[in-house]
Amino acid sequence: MKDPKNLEIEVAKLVSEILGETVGSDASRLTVARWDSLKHMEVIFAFEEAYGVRLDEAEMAALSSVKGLAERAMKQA
Amino acid sequence: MLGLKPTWSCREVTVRAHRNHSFEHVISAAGAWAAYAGIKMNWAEAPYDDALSMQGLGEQPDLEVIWYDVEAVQATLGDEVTGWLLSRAQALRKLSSAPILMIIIGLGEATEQSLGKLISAVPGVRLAPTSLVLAGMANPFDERLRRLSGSRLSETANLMLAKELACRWLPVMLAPRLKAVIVDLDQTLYEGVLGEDGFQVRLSAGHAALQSALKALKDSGVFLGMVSKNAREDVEALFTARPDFPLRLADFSATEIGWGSKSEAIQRACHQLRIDPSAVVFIDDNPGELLEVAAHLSQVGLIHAAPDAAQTRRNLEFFPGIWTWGVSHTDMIRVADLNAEIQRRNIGLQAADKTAYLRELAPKLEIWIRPVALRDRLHELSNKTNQFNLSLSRLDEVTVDAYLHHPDKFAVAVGLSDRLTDSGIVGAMFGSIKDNEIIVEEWLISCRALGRELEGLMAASALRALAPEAKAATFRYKSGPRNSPGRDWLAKSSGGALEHEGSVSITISTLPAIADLPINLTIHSNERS
Repeated sequence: MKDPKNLEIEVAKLVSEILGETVGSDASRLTVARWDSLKHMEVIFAFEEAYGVRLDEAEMAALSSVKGLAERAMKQA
Repeated sequence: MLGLKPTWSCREVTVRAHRNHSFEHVISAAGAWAAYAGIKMNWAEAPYDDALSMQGLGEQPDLEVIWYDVEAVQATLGDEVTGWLLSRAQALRKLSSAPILMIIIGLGEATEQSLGKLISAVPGVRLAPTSLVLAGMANPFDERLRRLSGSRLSETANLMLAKELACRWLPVMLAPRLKAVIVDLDQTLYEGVLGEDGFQVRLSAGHAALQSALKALKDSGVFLGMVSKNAREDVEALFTARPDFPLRLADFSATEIGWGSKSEAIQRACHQLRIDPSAVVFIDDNPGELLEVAAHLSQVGLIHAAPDAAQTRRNLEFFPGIWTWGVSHTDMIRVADLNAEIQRRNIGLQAADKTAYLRELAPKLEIWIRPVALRDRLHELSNKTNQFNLSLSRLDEVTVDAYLHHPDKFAVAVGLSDRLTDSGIVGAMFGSIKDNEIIVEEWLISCRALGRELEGLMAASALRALAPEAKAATFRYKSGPRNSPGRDWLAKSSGGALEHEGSVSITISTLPAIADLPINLTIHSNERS
């Protein structure tokens, strides 16, 4: 099983790539202006592909932070 | 790829989307592909509107897009959905003269085809073949996204539509289609090197498909050229020895086989084809050759021929400007007509004089006055013709339509054929007419019809058909980088020197008359009525 901290760093890196700016483990749609609805969809698609996850509609809307995404990836693992 | 920024300059294009579902994802994804096509899309927002009421539109953009999912109205409109969509295109046409691209989601293939037929009557409107694009996907829709992204289209569908929009639909709505594909031979059309492997070069399935795709392009009116560092006799023998090649040597309208630089060979091929290098895409497996061409002919499009020829074919099929909305009669005859030009030149060399030359060719000239059915061809001629184009107006389809329908305006199409080929519609004249006073605002002739010394007769026939009593016509002109053949004709016919821009009068009786020449003339008057 992956270390949760390492997973957060990994997810933060993935989100950073999509947003085009470096974000940390505490980043969320509330704290990063560039993480708008359009970018959120790109983040979700990249996350699904990276972790082999298929999110349902409610999760897609709710998972709006690096920590939340990392926790979901942990569940999948 | 979405994060890549072009290092080259791109043409800025404002796109306004009239929509009832989210277009942002497509626009966002299309940016990188559009940059590849040399286009930077600036998006002008229009509000979501299921009714497509087109209310409160601001400044006219460069392109209008109707981005619509019919799911919202299918239950209400049923079979009437095509008629309703047509009415929306017509309504937008009245409000904007910009080209209109309709990307309609949710129509079946048959319904889309019938809508396409209806839409073709509206000038400057194109219907994207969306059903075909979506039919090729396992999951075009993703219900999870409906509320979150504002569209039921899946990520794959958005990406594919973005690629189609940027690489296929948009480039040919904003500029004329490319005119030629010029290819290298070794490692491009087959695996292997002719000079080393001889006739045993290998035709992989991918290379066979690439050759077939090139042949299909030729059949759709794109010239094929060959630029190869080989010995000509070897190349000729190869095509004879390999009947399994889908392409034959005769499919190439220009062949430059030798040991000089490829950029110079491409320039010579363009000269043979009578086209500008900017209308060419060149395919070669050797990056060094591609760089040499890029350094000397930066306007030529380039495709690297990958070892996997299927990839090369895909790159060609999505190369901006190569796709077409449909193949017209003119497209189909273009290649044969250029090939006949060589025979015409030989006849010209052997003929004692111009009359003998024309008698041998037996030309037939046809003049159509206000031919509404030829609107698309007239528009195409106005935008593609460079050498004999007097005022370089580059008319859009809406303006061409106005010339065809306005009582004080006129549009004339000129058709030309001879015993060798049918050249199709090769000339167009646009202008205004009142009480036998003719002002020719644009007069252009395709370069394929030049060299037969019929320019004056074409103009005279058009003017006499328009107004038999008119004594003179005023021609407007403007200098451009390549229209000296047209301006030279005008200067000679008017008997005076031309300024950079202006107008001159020509006395119609000084132009050639049909009675003096062995040419068959047919007038189709007032096709509008």
